[in-house]
Amino acid sequence: MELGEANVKDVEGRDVRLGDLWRDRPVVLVFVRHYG
Amino acid sequence: MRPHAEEFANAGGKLAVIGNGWPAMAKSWAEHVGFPPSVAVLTDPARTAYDLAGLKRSVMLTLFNPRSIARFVRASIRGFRQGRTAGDLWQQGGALVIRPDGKVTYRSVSLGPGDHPRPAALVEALKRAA
Repeated sequence: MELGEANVKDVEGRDVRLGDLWRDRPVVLVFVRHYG
Repeated sequence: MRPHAEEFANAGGKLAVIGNGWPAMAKSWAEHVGFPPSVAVLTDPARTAYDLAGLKRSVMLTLFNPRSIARFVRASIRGFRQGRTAGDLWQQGGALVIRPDGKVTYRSVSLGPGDHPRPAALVEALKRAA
């Protein structure tokens, strides 16, 4: 699976396909270690 | 990262922050941090995206990394205190810049707590990708 095909969730629990984030413009994806 | 959030939009791109807890944890954290609406706050409970991004998960890197211990000491001296955390404690972070064609033009893989790129470096990488 490619990164762009992965599904994550928004803060309301809705599925978000990662590739949609950079479909129109470049994106900085910051992966945090944990919340807090 | 939050104080720099507008810089990413001004650089022609978007900032998305991904954690690995449940959506309610992400929502609570996002409200606490106060990200502007332009920032996408997301979560990856299964850590699938973390794995696909090539990020690391390690007890050793988290607890016994000498550089991270030194960063912890420096941060403590400056008055920073780690609050309660939510998510996978052993998961390391990282950052990618990705163009609309899917090409990854910047990658930073964290090797322990406190090992993360400067926001200015991310903004510059985004400008080059835009």
